[in-house]
Amino acid sequence: MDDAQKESVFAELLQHSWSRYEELFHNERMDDVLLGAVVASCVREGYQMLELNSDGVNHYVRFELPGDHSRLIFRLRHLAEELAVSKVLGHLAEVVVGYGERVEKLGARWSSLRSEVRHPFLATDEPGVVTFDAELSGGYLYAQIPLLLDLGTYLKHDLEVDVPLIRSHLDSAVHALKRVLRGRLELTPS
Amino acid sequence: MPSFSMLENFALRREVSDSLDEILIGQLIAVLVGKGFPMVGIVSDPDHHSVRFRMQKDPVLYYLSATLHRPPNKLARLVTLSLTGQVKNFLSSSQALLDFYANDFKKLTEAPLQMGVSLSHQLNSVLGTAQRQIRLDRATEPDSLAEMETLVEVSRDLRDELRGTISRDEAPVSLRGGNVVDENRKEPRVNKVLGAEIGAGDDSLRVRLFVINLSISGFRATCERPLPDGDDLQVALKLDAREPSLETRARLCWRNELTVSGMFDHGFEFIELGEEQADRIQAFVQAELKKQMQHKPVDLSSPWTFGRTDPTY
Repeated sequence: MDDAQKESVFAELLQHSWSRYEELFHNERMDDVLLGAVVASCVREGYQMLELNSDGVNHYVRFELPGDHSRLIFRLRHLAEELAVSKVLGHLAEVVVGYGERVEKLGARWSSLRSEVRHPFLATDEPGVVTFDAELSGGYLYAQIPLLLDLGTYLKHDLEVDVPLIRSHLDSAVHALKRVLRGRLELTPS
Repeated sequence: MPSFSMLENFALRREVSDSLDEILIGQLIAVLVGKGFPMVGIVSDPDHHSVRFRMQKDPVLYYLSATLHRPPNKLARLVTLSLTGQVKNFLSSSQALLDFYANDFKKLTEAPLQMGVSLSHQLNSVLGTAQRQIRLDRATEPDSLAEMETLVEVSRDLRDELRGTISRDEAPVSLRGGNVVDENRKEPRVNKVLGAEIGAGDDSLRVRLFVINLSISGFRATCERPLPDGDDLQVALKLDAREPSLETRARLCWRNELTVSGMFDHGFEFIELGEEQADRIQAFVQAELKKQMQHKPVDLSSPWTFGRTDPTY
């Protein structure tokens, strides 16, 4: 090969590498992209982000609505960051959405709710299982639900996000959790 | 109840007042994601928050990273927001790589700090960083999201600085969609002080402009004072002291106050530019570019004293 041919081959190698690199990058970053869209959606709805952190696998974000001081918590774990896995499973992600309100006499109510579940084999990560959690220092009680979602549903080509779809799904989950939380509080003696 | 509590993974600061920096970062994310730039990275530690965005469809920037340095103590009222624009080198020939590096290095030494933007070259990227101070107590104000919208417009400064730094006619490289590719660039950079008269009717201002870009579409210029706003302004640019001013009409597209210098940055679009006027602009730009390629680097340290062509302005 002469110099020109070598340059041409080198250029092809680089271009091919960039193409595959982009594919890997998109796959790895889908969870960050979705989390950003969740933050954007909530902030535009009037929530204030109180916390954002990540342990490299799970991403956590917490919000408060200034008007009524209700809070949202959101955890996202991408189950298919490996390209091969995502090609089989799709961009599956485990999401937990929680809705919290300040509750009077939280300690007593929280003890009552905790005592309801004792059997060690009861699964709490099944869809439709609403569990409760308490932020005792702040006086908040949360209802939370796990969901298994396909991130591909929300992400269009080239990492473009369908924010209205995310907003509608979040609104629906929060609506359900709010009803469950308030309903259970009425049924749970303080 | 779940044996694993999700809440254990939060710091659970009790008061909103302890989370003002997080609120600001949330607003920043909302603004940039809202502009179509997906978030592609998060780093959060005790000293700072960093988030990175992919600048899809941006003609210059590939990434924009935002770092909010946490206040050192709870009484601090100001936080520093650093915005870093990144242009990536996607060159694929060894000669283009060398040309790019040589051109880039030369430009960085010529103009290391303009518009409060510092430039650096790291690995296959050229980075421009600008810093802004934000008042923490503004985070919870009703208009704080709108304020953040204005603040991230500093990315335009980064974009312009990086575009000017990387793209030069003498190097066979240009920018496309945030990438440096093996082509010749299209938009020239002028960096020239010109006398001008801008306004409508009796409200015209005679000013000296630091013209950064000029083309038949319009121009970008900074000035010590804000220039008149309007969709149909009379503009007279003194391209050459020996010739009549170039007179045309333009509209103000945008205006930013530059926090560091206190000057105002403006973008104007020409309205119905005539053929003769277009020819004059093109001839002027070509002549300026030729000068830039022949002589020493332009001294940008005192933009208000060099290049004076008409003492009446």
